[in-house]
Amino acid sequence: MLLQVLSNNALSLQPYIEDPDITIVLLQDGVYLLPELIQQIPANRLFVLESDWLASGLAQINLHELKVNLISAEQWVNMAAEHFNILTLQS
Amino acid sequence: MSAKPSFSLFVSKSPYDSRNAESAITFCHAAIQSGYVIKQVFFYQSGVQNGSDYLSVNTDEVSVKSRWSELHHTHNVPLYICVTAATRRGILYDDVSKGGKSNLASDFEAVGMSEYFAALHDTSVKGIQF
Amino acid sequence: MNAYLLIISTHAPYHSSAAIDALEAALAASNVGLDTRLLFQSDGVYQLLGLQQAETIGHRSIYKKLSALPLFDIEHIYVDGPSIDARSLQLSQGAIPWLELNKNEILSLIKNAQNILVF
Repeated sequence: MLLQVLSNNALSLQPYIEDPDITIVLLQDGVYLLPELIQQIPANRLFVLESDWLASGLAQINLHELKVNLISAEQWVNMAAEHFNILTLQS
Repeated sequence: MSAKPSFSLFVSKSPYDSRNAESAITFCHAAIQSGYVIKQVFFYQSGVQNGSDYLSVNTDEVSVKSRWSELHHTHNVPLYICVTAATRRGILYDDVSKGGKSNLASDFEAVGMSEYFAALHDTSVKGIQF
Repeated sequence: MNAYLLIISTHAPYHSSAAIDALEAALAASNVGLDTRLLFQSDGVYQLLGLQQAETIGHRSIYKKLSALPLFDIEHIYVDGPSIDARSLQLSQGAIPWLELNKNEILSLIKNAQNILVF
């Protein structure tokens, strides 16, 4: 399952954090969850839309050091196509 | 080799009260660029506000109206507004054929909800919500 | 497993039109022959309180509307157990044939849905 997270509501995300079948993409305000989520979710399950990341102002955080995956919109679409289903979480 | 999936978008938020319309539009462009088909974009709840003909922004603001229009005209993406939700929120006003007014922009078509769900019988169509 | 649409209803009955929007979506989907399953989660579990006197606020009872779901071929109605516990609610079955699921069952229900809509 692809989980799109559009808001920075960490509580709503809790049920999905540990499941290895769930890939998480942070979009819009969801990108603000990254510093917290990177502690809990392995990098191969956690992705951030690059345009939203750059807009957020958090870019002073060096993602390469954290080994977090920034993705383009095309990569996001491909992930949506590859996963069985898509759940969108927003407040 | 299985067919490339297509997408049916479900937009349930109004423009400017969230960036959902912008994200949906970004998704559509990237999908089309990558050779996927966008079967439809369906607007429900306050998402129907996307279809207002009176959306008007300053030149330095994002024009969701022109972006939806471009998707429709250049890439033939059907833009469907839920009749019930649109009437409830004043985008459609009663029966236009009987002289009622409509605020609906011409790029959008008012349909029943079943239009969105009928497409999902094809399991190669992926639903994605904004 | 058959492909099914999962509709997740997360708001209290009269919070906004969200509860009705979820119900109408479920009915529309079922009407065109989609296997449609309904999950009440978060504040959505409040929709299952049986003593709603909606007429006092000029609304029609969501509970009464939900009671008719099986008549429209929507028989898979689930309630998120952790949401009930978090709200210290006592919910009785009443007129709506719902099934309480635990955390893992909820995850399975969501992961196996062909399509998911959240209201």
